[in-house]
Amino acid sequence: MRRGLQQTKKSRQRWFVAFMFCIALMSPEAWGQETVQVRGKVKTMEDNESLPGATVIEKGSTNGTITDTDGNYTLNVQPGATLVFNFLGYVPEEVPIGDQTVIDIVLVQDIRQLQEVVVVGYGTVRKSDLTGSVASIKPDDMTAGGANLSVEQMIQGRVPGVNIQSKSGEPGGAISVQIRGASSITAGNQPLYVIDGIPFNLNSQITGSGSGFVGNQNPRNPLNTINPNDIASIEILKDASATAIYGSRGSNGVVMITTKNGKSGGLSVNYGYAYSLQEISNTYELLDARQYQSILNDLIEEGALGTRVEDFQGDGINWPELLYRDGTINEHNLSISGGNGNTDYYVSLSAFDQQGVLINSGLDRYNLRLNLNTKLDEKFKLALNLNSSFIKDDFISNGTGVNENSGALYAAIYYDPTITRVRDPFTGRFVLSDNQVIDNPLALANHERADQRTYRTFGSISAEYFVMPSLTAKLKIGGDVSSARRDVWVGPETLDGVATGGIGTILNRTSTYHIGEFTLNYNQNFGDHDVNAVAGVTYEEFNNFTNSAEGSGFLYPDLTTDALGSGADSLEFVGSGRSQSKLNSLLGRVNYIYKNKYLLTLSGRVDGSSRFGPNNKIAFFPSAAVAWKLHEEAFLQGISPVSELKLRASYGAIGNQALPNNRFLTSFSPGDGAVFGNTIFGSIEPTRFANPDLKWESAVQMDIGIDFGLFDSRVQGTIDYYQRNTEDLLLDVPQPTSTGFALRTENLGKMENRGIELGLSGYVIDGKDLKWEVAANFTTLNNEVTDLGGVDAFFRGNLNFVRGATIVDEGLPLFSYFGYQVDGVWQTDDDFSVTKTNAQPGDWKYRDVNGDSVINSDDRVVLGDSFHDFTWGLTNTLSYKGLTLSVFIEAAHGAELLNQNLVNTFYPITFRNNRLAEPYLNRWTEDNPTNEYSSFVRPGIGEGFQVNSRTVEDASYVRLQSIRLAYSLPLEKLGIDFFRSFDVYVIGQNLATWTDYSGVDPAANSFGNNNIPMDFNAYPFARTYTLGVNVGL
Amino acid sequence: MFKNIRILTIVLLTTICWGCEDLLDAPPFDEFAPENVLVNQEGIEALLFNAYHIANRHQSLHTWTLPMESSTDIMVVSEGGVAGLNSPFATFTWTADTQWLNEWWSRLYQVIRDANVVIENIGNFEGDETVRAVVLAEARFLRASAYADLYNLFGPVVLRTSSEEPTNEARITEEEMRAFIETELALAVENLPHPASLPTDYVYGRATKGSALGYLAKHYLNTRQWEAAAQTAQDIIDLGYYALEPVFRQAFLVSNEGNNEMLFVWTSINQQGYHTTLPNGVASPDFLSAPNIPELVRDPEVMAAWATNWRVTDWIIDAMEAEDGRQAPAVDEYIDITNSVRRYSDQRPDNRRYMKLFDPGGQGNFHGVDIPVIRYADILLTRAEALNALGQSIDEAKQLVIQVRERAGLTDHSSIQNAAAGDELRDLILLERAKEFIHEGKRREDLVRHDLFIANATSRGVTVDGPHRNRFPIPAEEANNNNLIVQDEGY
Repeated sequence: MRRGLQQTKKSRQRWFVAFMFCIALMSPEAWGQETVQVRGKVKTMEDNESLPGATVIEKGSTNGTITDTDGNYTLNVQPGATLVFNFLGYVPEEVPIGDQTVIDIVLVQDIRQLQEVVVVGYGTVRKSDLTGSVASIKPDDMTAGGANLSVEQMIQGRVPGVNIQSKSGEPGGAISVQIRGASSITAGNQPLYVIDGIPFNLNSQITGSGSGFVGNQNPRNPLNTINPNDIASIEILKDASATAIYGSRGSNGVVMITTKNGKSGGLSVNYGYAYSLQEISNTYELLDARQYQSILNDLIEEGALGTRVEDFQGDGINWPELLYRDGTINEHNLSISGGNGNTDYYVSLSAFDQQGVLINSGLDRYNLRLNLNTKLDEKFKLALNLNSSFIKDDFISNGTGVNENSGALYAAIYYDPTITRVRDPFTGRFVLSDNQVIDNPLALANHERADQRTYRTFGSISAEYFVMPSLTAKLKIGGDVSSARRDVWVGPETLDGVATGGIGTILNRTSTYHIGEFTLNYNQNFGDHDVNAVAGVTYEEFNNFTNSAEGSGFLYPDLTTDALGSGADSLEFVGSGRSQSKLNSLLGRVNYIYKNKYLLTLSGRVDGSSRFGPNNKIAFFPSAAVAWKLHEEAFLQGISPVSELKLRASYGAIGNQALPNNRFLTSFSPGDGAVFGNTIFGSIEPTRFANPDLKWESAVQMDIGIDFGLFDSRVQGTIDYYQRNTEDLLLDVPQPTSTGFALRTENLGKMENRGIELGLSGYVIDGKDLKWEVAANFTTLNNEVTDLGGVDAFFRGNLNFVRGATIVDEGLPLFSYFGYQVDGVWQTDDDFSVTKTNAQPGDWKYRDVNGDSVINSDDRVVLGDSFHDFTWGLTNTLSYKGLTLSVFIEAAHGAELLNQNLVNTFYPITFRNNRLAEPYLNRWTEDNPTNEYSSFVRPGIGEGFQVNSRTVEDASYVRLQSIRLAYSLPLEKLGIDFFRSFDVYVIGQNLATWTDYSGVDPAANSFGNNNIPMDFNAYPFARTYTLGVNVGL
Repeated sequence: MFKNIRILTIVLLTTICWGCEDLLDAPPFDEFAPENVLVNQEGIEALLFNAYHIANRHQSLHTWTLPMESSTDIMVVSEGGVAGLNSPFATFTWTADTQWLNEWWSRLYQVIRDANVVIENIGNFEGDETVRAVVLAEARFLRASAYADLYNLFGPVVLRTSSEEPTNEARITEEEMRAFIETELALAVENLPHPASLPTDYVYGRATKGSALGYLAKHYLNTRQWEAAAQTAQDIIDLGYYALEPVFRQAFLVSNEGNNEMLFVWTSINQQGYHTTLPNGVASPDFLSAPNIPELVRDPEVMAAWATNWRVTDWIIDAMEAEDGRQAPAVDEYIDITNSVRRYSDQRPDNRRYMKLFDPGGQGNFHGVDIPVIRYADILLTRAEALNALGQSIDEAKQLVIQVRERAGLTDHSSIQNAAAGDELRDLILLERAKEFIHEGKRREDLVRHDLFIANATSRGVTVDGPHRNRFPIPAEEANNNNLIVQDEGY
């Protein structure tokens, strides 16, 4: 062993000498001149630690070396040479050697923010050298510690061009994230997440909800697997120049998440605990039992069809209140980090336990992370990133079904409030409404339940070799294994379960992902020329394995899904599936900087994907960007107040392949089977209308930007204008249904997103003790479907009895709400001869757009869309000594939202369903001839008219998203040296919302598609109060 | 360090093989390739069964029955979300966008799609020649009956007989449409098994000679080819297999499924996906039981009764004489959920319920009652109607009607016997059909073929904007995406 090592060392030395010799040969001055050996040590200013890995280069040559683990270097140079010392994040130093042979140097950390290092695809660059549009967030910018329930929340409202909306208040619930609008109609519009250099697989979740269980269109957030406290920085890559290196997955932007690493120095232990209390921020104001009785009976008297509400004892029941509770969150975070010159490590453990604001819902999360970097020798570095998590999700039945297929919250909202008991005192069974087909809300909440356990581990190992100071080679192997099991139980206490003695379903899914990646990094200075290049090749493979089992007919349902076999044999069902996709890619980028003024970036990726047909598997996504650092020009030197000014422009093509596998392939799948006699016979069905010519969707994006700093960078800002034109849209094109198929995925149509993004931050007061920092951002967005390639306008958005709520048509924003214009209410003295419809006073008055005296689907108009015209965020941080107060306001304007709860109030599908109070308390009557609300006597006439200008509401809002007050104990003053730091804080989140939207929250969306928002019994949004402590040892 | 480089290089070359196209093959593991599955009897039958499954409307029966009957004078749908979806049919305001049109259209064309592939691949079917001929005949039957339904609803449509046709295709002519349906059904009749001698593994619900002849007879009738209709009906009678169930109500009971009255049914069982929900819509939300339907006691905790209230009109029930067995399923008096006795007729007009199709063994909302598509009573009345239209064998025609009436328990047939041939007898036959086929979705076509559909609506006070309403427009999903489609005038 020892011998082997020595041999290796020897051969290494030999090789190195040979290599250096070659380099020396390349240098024209090398011949026949004597050299001087210079040695020394490189240290840092801040902690006086030696700095390994710094480059030492003889100016104007390729001759150089890097410092060893102790910061030492030795270099043979020409007499009279100048040495350039360089380390990322530090101010470079140039030292003429003169007569010295020993030169020790202290590098100063570059504190100017523009010198900050940001993570980009397959590398890092100095922020000042960025040519693309990249936003970077460091934990300091985020309300760190305990306040972030998700990764997305760290970004929400803080980055121009990124629109983040929580679709509901469900623990760990789905969050809509869109960078610069929507680029695709059918394919995904989610950004690519890259965690520590490894693309993160968002599609590893269990789909399907289990038999008898109400389907929820929004699965929980896959990023729950990451502990927000482990995150060191998040970079958002927005323009083509930044994202083209991710090729076919870059068109929706890329979110780069980098986790924390240990710092050299001693052991550092941090522990944080936070306790949060959650309360529902906005509840449904429903008719109470008395109002319900009197109004419904009035309606019958006025001619409505329905069963009268009989007298009842007591005050009835406010059903939703029975599902509500105060939510709690307990969160523990422990991290241990440190390092010496050769090795650094970061280990963290976290436990997160959330009880949601609806009973029987919650989230438990345990995370473990290990980040390890070690230098085996001066040229060889190994790194390990490992994240492992266990998540237990508790689901209350809450989805988008209605009537007997509904979930608990729907049932509670619409249940007859005059029912005075939850359970029948004699039979013990849940009381059912005689006049509704909805199950008892508490039966659903308590006996229709699901829980899911997800074990997920992902990470990577990389080996990096410094071939020469300017060239490194890196091999990275990564993987991701997610194994989830969902147990769904519909008990015999429920309507769905009683017939079969309970229904149990187990859904299993294992998703695996692995990646192999080899990259070469070249970084060299040639006098006025700086070149930084990366080239690489990757292979990625995704596999999914699913299986499910269902049982019912349980004689003794006590064992539920733990013993599915205890059900009836004849009612057992199994299913399974397996899928795979692959990506194989070449990637590259060159950054060229001339005189530190003129910058050029060329980048691109060649992607091959298994998702496309044989003729179109491979595609190339190139981009180019230029930038000009005006502040480096002589004519701007010394011109106050501009300290930094950079112009950027980029152009490129990026792709999208986020669609299901095998759309190009004709095949057959197991069908439902056909029943003959009393037997089901197996069947097969055509899987799809295949399109063998299917290819990539590509987005051509142009970006022009300015980065500036004023008053010595006390104020910093960035302005971008972008235009992204997606073409060859991956579109589920409606087919003539006589083909036997409704849709076929084709490359058809064009869409455009354009907008302006502004980011501004600065210190209003920058005193020694008192600081006031303001960070603001502003975004505009304009989305338009510009071409449908000859396909007629089509409709999307079916939810229950609402069909085709939105239209996709040329010249309109994607998924524009499409329905009827309500002009008011028919009044008694109106001229009814203008309409052939059977209108009566008190009915809604829909606008007869085409003037044919009939109201039908030809009278529909565009009522709005889900894209915010502009959004803004504003953070004010005031600090005085150890006390920090931060106030964060987030706002969005100019989007619309279909309020399905209003639809169900205006057009109840069952007369005896309860309704929202306000419209009924102020409804049209002969004594109250309002135009605000109809009489609701004949809601049936409106059916088909549910999508109209009253139910599609303005969803603009301004939200006081958080206030945080933190105090760092002055430990030195107090004479405490046991703790390195001790911070306490309180945070209030989602404290107030100003909006005209009448529903519970203008961001609510129970519909699966993020661009067709429909507010329908969304899990309640919560206001959160957190008390926390962070301790450093 | 050379060693490291070597390792890196080897790893690079072995793990990452850029440019190898095979590397990007990711076969769909859980799907069948056509060349693997359509190669034998099992695979071809499995696809045929899919066509049967799609043709079977059990799960969404209301999207068929409601529009076919509420657009006439025998049904009212007033509440619930379904009433909204149905209202264009009740008010004669349907457009090409109206939702259920495409449900019918695309479902029938999916049947045609699968049948075409079966027929194209029948050559791969190895084994028993007679089995192969039957499978081919079944595919022909499913395809031709789907075209017959399409023709009945939409008039001449796009004829697709292969899976390789262009997506854009024009409608064919009336003559071509009829010729195709008639030729293909006749071909199917030849090779489908006789209902009395089904092959051993040929389970009830698959097509027989009777099914294809039944479809053919109904097609001739609806297209007023009276002579052919009368003859085809006679061919069915001559099969010697079919007969009327002695008691009307018995013909539909789950316990009596597979009886000799049924030429073709949509088989259902009480399991999700193979069930029908018709009873959920028929029962009022407060319904518990009815004295005249002793088999059915609704457990409100199990079987939902929707808000929608699918009601039968008073005139048709009142038109039934006291002893008419077809009154038996009509529920007026019922026990409500509070165990009180109530009457539907006390609550509002046209409020009674017709409980002919129900399943005492229903599991929750999953009712397993077979839905008759063509039954023998229809065939007898078809021949009667055709003979009357031809002005031939009027006595035989009357006798056929009386046969149906007698089965219903009626004894006095003087109205029929005294009726004059021609319009008077025709109207009586149509009335007989209206009573006989409640919830079987036949009233619309019965009225249409005698040009009474629109007059019938107008007499109820419905505004009808023109004779184009005798047919439905080509659904928008087709018309908008197939640029060779010429929409019917008026739509």
